[in-house]
Amino acid sequence: MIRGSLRRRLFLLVLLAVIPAFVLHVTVQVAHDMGAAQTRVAAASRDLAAAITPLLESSLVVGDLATVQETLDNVMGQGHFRTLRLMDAGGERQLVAGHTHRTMDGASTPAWFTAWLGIRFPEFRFPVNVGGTTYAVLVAEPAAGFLATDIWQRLWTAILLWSATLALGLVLLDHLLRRSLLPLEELGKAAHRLGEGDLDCRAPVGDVPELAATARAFNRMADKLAEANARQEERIREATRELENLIARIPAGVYKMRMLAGGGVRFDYVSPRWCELLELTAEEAYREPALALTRLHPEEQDAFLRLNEEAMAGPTPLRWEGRLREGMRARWICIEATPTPLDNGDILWNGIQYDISTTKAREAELDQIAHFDSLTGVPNRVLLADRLRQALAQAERAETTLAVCYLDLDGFKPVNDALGHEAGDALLVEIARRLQGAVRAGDTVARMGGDEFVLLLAGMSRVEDNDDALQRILDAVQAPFTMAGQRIAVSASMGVALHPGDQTDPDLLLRHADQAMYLAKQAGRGRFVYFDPRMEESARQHRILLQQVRTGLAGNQFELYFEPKVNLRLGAVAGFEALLRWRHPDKGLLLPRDFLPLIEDHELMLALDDWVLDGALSQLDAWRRRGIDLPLSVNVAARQLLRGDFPTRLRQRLARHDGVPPERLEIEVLEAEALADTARLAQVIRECRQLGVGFALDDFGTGYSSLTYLKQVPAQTLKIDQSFVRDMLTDANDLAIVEGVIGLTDVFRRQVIAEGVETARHCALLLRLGCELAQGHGIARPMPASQVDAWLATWRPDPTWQSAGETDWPREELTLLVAENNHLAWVDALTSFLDGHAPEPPEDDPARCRFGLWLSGHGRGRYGGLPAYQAVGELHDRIHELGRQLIALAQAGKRGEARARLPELHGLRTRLLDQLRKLKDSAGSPR
Amino acid sequence: MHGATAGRSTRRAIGLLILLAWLASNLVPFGAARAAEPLLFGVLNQQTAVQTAERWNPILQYLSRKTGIPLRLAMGPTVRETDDMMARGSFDLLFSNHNFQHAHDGVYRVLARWAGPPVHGALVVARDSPWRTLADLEGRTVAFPSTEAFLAYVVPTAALRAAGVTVTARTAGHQDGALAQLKAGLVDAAGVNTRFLARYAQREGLSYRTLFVSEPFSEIPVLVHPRVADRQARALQKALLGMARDPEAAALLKAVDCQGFVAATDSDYANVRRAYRAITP
Repeated sequence: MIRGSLRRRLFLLVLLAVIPAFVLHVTVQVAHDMGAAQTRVAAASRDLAAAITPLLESSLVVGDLATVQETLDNVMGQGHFRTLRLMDAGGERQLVAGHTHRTMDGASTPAWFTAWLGIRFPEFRFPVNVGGTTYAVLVAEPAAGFLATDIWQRLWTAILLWSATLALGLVLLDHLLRRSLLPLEELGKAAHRLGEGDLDCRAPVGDVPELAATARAFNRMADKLAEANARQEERIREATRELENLIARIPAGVYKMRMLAGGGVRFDYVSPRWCELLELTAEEAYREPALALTRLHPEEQDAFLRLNEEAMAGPTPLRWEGRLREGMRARWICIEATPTPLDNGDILWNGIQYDISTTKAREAELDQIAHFDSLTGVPNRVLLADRLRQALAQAERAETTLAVCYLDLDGFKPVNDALGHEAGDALLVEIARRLQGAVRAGDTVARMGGDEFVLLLAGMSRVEDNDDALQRILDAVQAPFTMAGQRIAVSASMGVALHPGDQTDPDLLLRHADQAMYLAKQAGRGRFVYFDPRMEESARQHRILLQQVRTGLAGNQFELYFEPKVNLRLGAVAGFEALLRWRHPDKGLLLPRDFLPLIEDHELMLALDDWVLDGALSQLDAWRRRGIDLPLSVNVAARQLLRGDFPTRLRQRLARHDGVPPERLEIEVLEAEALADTARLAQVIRECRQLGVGFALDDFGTGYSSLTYLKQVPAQTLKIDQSFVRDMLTDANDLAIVEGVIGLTDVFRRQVIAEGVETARHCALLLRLGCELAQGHGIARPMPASQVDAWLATWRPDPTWQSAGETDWPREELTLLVAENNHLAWVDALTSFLDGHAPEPPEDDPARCRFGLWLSGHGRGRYGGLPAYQAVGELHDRIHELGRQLIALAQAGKRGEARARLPELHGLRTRLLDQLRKLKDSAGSPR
Repeated sequence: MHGATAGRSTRRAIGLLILLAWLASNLVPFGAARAAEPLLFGVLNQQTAVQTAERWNPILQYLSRKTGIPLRLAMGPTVRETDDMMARGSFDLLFSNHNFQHAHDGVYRVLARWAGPPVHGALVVARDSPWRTLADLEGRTVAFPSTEAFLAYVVPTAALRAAGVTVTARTAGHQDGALAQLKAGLVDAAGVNTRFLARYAQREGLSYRTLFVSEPFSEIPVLVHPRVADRQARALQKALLGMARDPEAAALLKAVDCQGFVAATDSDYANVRRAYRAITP
């Protein structure tokens, strides 16, 4: 197939038609020429050779071959012969060969042509005879050169003629084509322009009829196309309007952006919502595309650009969520876009972006819920685990210390119970706030639930720093609160595990802190304890203990001891308090304080309480059978009482011991425990009292005894805590408390009983203060049930109670009694030191000992004007003077000498006590 | 296998045969050439070489046929070269009288002579010329065939010298040439051989006047070189002398315008020797 333009095709066709004709013509001509010329040349050559022969005769006769040579050369020079040779007469030996420097052969004819013609003439032989003798034979071969040249020239003539004709033909053809094709070209251009989108372009019609028809057809087509296009455009405009309406209605912003191959960006399209989100006008976006990026939050821009790069490298779709610049209406947006590399190197981004502020806010809320305690707002258990891991990693990196503190409030439950859940919650909120205030900014305060908190304190370098910080935290918790108009105070026990030093495992660290916290509880609460690896042992022991308690319950290792309660005034037994004892197989008899604190939060505690209750009822039953009709009190944990079914269960128990009058049973509840959920507790107590069971508030004075509280809780009896009773003789404050409590029972018409009575003096004072019931070692120690009968049979009241009771100590002068006791205690302490029983001597400064303080304070105020006051002061100073001497002697190793002078001291003491009586008496009498 | 080997052997055999045939064809002519080396028969340049060959080749062919002695015509391009060949003893036989020049005399021996009446040398002028005697030619230009021509130059020059006339000699190559120049008026006189003169004048219509004619001289002899064996010399002499009577040679002699050869002796050429001495002492 011929390729190329029409002109080229036509030309080629013409050439294809002409060239074979030409070749045929030339071939025929050459063949003809050759035939004719060969004949002609052969004849001419023969004639010429024949003509030469005579010229040679004379030379041959005289043997002048030089002349012969010359002759032959001359002839050859004319170019008619290819070879011209003179052979001897026999025709065998060549004598002379003509040659020439002129080369007629191929003078103007290429050798290949001659060779191609392949013209060969036969050799002609002409003998040279003179006088009948043959001198030589002339051998001549006509030259083809002339012939070839002739044919060559004729050929050229033909070629030139043909070429000229062909060229002329082609020129004419070209001209014709040009003229004819011009409209076609115009049509082509018009079609091209049409293709390029110039729908108004029309082709000139021209004067070539065939092409004119085509041009008109083309123009009609263009018209139609323009019409169709107009319709199409209208439809597109319509569709675009609808699309824009739709785009405007979707909450996402739509955009089309181009990252130019040469750098820079350009927006092809931005939707109104897009503009609204970024607070840009479309004009601004088109004019200055970089503005869009500045709408992102400065901290987010790098990440966003990085994500862009990654997406383009893919190319993979991009999804990015990030913040907008501060101060914009939308805070968070999400961009979803797809990069498409174009052929020109640009990258086209099709994307949408939408406001996810609400979603983010909800996420944050959910996150808050998931990770923060809903009540206090501090991190919860879940977030704590995370923070702990981070803090550990950070501590390991920075090689700093991390303190994990497990904090449990002491006495939170009573508050909660007394003041209600709302108050309890408010307290927890306040505690959390205080804890946060007490730690540094980077530290974590988390609530584990209930009243348990965990604190992560990072970067403590010295133990002292730790201690200070921990104490600060405890102090913050312990500072009193004002809640519902009441001042209340709680403390906290805290266990601390340190890293490094302890485990790297977060859970283990927490557990260790928890264990240490338990130790802090055991050690008396309101303190912190560092985890010690030995605690592991302790924890193990705790577990063992719980197991042993279970075993003990099953194996009857527990028993009840009974502590008598007596009426001091009547000198009669008033009842017993049942006390739990554990006859431990290895450790012997254990008191409740040895094991109860370790299990009081455990379910076993309830089982024990039940056991105690059952034991007490059984004992009452037993006593009744033996004719002993005395009340028996048992200690029941408030938690046990608060279990919904306690009154029911109590009723069932009482029913089981139907011989026991319910009013013989008294239930003692710790005042502090009873604070928990006062309302419910009061209800329970009321229900129990309807059964006839009595109630006592144990350890009264250690809780938050308030009038409201006392009014709410319908317990008939208040038990003054033994700590106050024990110290009332030497501590004016304790005395005041004891006096106050007794006063309260008067006001509220409750019974009062003092615990911890150790001496007859206690009894005497209690009687004097108006408290008739008492119990304590000073009266009788707790005893097994088996000994109760014997004790009842043998016990007699101490007569000194009554005498002491009869001593006329006016209430107002009771502080004088305390002062006296203080001084006696001082003398006892000095004696103890001199005896070597106490390592340290008592305060030797007369102004600073408790008596001295009373003397210069309350004493001076009340008795300063009396003559005896002066004497008391002088005697006190003398006693201290002597005391100093004795201390010095003892410290000098002369204890014997010092002791020898004790009578001297005792003498002075007696004189002082006398003077004190005078003070009392003088104060009592009108002045 | 077998066939191929046989074919190869055959081809070798053929190749060998071709080689032998080639050798034979080359060797045989050598022997023959040596056996029949022709005697060279020199002829004085009286005419053009072709004319000489046309006359003498039939005669030599006849003599060879008669005697069995191969003969071959030999001559130089000019008289001088032929004389030089003669002087070098190149010819075995010779048709010339130049051997009687003093310098060359005594080598070749007379065997026979061209039959015919004696010939003369002459000096002629145009019939319409004013010169009547040799003395009139004083200072004139005279054409001679060549300075080697005996009758046309040596004899007339000896006469002019004897007459004390000095001329300007112009050589024309041969007798006809000298006469042609005279006829054309290019020269004042020509020295010629009377036999040629008569024939030329008759043929070309030349009108002339003879100013001098010499004594008669014998026709040119056939000479033999002493190295040619006597038997051969005698055989050749016999054949020469017998030609005129031999009918076999009649047509031949007629064709070459020859009346045959007659016996001659050395003394027949004494006047030739004298003439040469007159111009070259």
